[in-house]
Amino acid sequence: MIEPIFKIEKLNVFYGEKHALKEVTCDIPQRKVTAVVGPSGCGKSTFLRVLNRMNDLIPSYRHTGSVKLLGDEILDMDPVLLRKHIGMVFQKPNPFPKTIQENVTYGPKIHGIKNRQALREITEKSLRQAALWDEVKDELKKNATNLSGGQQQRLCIARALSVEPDVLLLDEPTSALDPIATQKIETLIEELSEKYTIVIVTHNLQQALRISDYVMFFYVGELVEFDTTEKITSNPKDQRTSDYLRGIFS
Amino acid sequence: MITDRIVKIVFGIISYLLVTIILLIVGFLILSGLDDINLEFLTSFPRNSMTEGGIWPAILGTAYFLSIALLFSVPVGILAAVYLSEYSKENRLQRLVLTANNILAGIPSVVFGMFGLSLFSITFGFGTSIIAGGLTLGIMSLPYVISNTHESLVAVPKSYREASMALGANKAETTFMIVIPASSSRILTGVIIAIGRIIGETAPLLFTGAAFYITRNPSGPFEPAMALPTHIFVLSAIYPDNVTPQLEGSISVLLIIVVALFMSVAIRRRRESRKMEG
Repeated sequence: MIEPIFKIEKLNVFYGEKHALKEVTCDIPQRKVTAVVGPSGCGKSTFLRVLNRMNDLIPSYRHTGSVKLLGDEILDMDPVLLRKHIGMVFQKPNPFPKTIQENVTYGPKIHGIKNRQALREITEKSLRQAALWDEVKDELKKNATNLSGGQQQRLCIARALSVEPDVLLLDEPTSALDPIATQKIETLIEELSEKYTIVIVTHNLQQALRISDYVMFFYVGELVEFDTTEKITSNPKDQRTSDYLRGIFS
Repeated sequence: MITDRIVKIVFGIISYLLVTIILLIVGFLILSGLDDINLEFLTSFPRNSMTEGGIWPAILGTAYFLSIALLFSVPVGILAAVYLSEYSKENRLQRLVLTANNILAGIPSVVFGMFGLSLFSITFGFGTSIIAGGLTLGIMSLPYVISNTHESLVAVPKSYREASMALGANKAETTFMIVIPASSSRILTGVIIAIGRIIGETAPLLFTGAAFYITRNPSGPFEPAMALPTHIFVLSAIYPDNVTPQLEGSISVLLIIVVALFMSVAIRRRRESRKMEG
């Protein structure tokens, strides 16, 4: 297996009394697309939000076990620094009600980049990487909320890339989009996987199989199976995985 | 069916009656003073024991009192609302503060007047002055600023906060660079409402800041000033049997300002709700 970016050992997640993830142990490989799948309420989104400590914002949340990013325990890291290394894109496109340019430069600005020329370069680079530059290069000063849903989601990807993260977490990024916009995002994910580690939660099994190198299958808080996409589809080891793949529960 | 129809008609009459009453009062008062308003009236000092001349010092004084009031209540109110919506936990203390805030909004203005007199005029030694009157009105407007700002901040989608935090912003950056700008238009609407609520207040100023009659403008914040509502009160008190053109004109000017403020609020609200849908 390729060198892991995240090493996770015996991760247990609790919301108050609720035991949301149980004894999860796995390594997430670097510069690959890992798809997190499983039925609703299985803990996929919770798992994703452990990685950049977004769950910390929920008062009743706590986790035990070890989650290491390139050897560093994430609980010992400053969450601000951690989140600079890990970009996140959410289920519903959520651009700030600001201009397109301001959306992209917000991250770099809070991390201390003030030079206008540098900010302009970051804007172009990030928007190009998100395959949005050609569509918006003449309207950078327009309000981002006027873009279409698919464009908004690619802007959110550009915004996440603007702080030059190592990892991109995508939480069902296409579930609010039409098929054409979805396809564009999927193509984009493949391109981005050359440079970034991508962990994507998806409800769409076909999508997971199309775009991922590895698949993690969660069921009721348990990591049932984690393997290359090829092995998971051709030869699932667990009965629950093969049931899920055959669409017995979704 | 018949009862439904009767109920509908009766309720309809009552609600239209309300509109009629408001139109009658506001329309009658504005119209009766309209012919007394001219540039001379708006820009000159009162003369001859306020039986002649205009209301310039009262307009200016109202602006002074409002400026001090807003300088106090807008920053304090916004920061308090930010604390309540972004920082404090949803617990009993937070509910207590919000309830206290609502009670504060319901306290009669004459009580605020006495409070301002005792605290600002006497204890702080500001006497009867623009600053004492302005701060009294500031405390009066505080609950409106707090509750309107709080509502505006709570209405900002959680997803904006998440996106900002996920980029590595801390809470203060998220609050001041994302949440407050996203709700600034609504916050401003709240401030306009607060102005509309306090611009006509008479009792607090009578105790703390109102000059009866001045012939020159105040030279600083520690002098008293005239104000539109207290001017109306003074005119009707000293000439109880005689409605002077000065009185009619003053009432008209004050009402026009208040109506304009609340109409601008209605327009802004409609625009905001349209923006939320689109």
